[in-house]
Amino acid sequence: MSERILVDAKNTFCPGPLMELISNMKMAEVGEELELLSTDEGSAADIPEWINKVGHEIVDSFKEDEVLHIIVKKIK
Amino acid sequence: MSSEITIQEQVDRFMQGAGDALTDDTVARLGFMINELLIIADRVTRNKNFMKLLEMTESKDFAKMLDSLSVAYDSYKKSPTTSGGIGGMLKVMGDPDVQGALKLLGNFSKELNK
Amino acid sequence: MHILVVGGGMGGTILANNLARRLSGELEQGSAKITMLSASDKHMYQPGLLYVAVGKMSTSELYRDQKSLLESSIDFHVDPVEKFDMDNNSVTTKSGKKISYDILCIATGSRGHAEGIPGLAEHSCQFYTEADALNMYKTLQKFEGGKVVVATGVPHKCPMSPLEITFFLIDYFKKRGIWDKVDLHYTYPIGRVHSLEPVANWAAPEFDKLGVTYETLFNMKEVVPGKVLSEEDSSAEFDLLVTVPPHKGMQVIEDNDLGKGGFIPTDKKKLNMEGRENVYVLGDTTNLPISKAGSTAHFEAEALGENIAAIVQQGEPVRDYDGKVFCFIEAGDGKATYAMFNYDNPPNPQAPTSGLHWFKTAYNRMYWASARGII
Repeated sequence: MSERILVDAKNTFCPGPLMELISNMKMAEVGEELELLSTDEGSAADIPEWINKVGHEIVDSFKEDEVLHIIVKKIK
Repeated sequence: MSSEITIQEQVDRFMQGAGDALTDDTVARLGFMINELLIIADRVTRNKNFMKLLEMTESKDFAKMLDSLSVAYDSYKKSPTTSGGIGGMLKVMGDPDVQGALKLLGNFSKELNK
Repeated sequence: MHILVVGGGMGGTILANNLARRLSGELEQGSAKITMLSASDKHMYQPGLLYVAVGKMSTSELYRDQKSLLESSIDFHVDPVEKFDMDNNSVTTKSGKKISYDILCIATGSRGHAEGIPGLAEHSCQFYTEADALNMYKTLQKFEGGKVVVATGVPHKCPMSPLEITFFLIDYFKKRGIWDKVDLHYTYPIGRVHSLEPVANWAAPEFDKLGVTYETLFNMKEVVPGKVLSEEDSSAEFDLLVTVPPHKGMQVIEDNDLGKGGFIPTDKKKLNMEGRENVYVLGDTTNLPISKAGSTAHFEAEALGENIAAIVQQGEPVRDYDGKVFCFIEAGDGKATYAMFNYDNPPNPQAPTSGLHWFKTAYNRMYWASARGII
């Protein structure tokens, strides 16, 4: 498996962390993992909701120094 | 109606008036004109030689030249018409001022052809 | 010092002109040279396409000769790059010329890629090329009412366009007197109606007022006749589908393995390509998590112009790109607003006004002065 893809969406407002994640998920291969970094409070709830709705897998999720890290595996 | 209105009210009224008077097309045309004027102004102000020419307009020599032009125009209007033909032309060519003017024109066209 | 600018869109043009102004002395002496390679001799005002699609602008207003927009000191060629050989600081063009550079600036842009979603290109109207925008206008003219769906792919050029086209469609249907026969349904990829939270908070109640229905977390998976299906297992039926298609970078970027999806990994502040000190990237071509918009390219070009000129003149760059983006938002009904933000400051757009709509209308015609690097 290739290296984890880092999506650094800290301090970005438009298109924002979830849209960045969706773009990068589309470009990733099935089985690859992505690590999303976000400081946007609003999308903190949207991101897991979208991942679950579409059916990808949240591998890990934690907050470190005010930055939310979400690690997602592309399932399909 | 009170005659005392705040600046904000004045701005609001101005905007409303402008809004009623302007159409999208008018604004677009104004935008187009501003665009072209900006481009022309940019070309002119960044052309070193043109700017030199503009600077010259502030000099005393330039004022003198304008003065000379108006004097020359006046005397041209007042002077009788030359007789024409080769004789008349030779007479005009003999004038040192005319020779000076021709030399200036010659130098100018030489510069243009460089 | 040879500076090669690849791409003659907004970013490349502003950058080349900015550099030509800053380096006029060096260009005159011959100690610096600026070359631009582009795929076309015409320059298109891309934001105008949105207006063409609803009959608010004509296609003739979209174009100017690229050469007329460039400083005369820039060596311009219509000869797109096909191969990048960054280890040897050279590119090979379509005509087979090999061109060496000291500094390379890549601004090839992005393009709509409806083909990325099965059925989307065949069953939708879009407005990201002149032909598509015209086709959309013709389709609208024939439309007499029914279900209209607006669906947005990811990533896309101009984050404001999904909302703008929706409000313009409402204006258009009202003007034609068929608004009461239209059911307009707006969909959006994330959990609110726009990526900018304050804009979403303003737009959703506007939609409610106008009777526009909406569904969020809707990412197109497939389009079949009369129906668009989402990744989230939802669907929307339509008589007319208007789409902001997903975008890709240019094929040449993918062909040369410079970045996934045609977007080049770029340093967010220095704007150099990751791992390359003398290659800079700007506009839609970057993989930066910021808006793919003309203003982004504009502000990046200004920062890069200053830095590259400083490198030529004193060997060191002088400033960082701060992430600045300024976007007008056409809100329909003759009103507009704008959003401005950078890496440190979130946007705080105000209620739309007619003054800002005029400003945008005038700016549509003042773009050419902007491309020349004047405003």
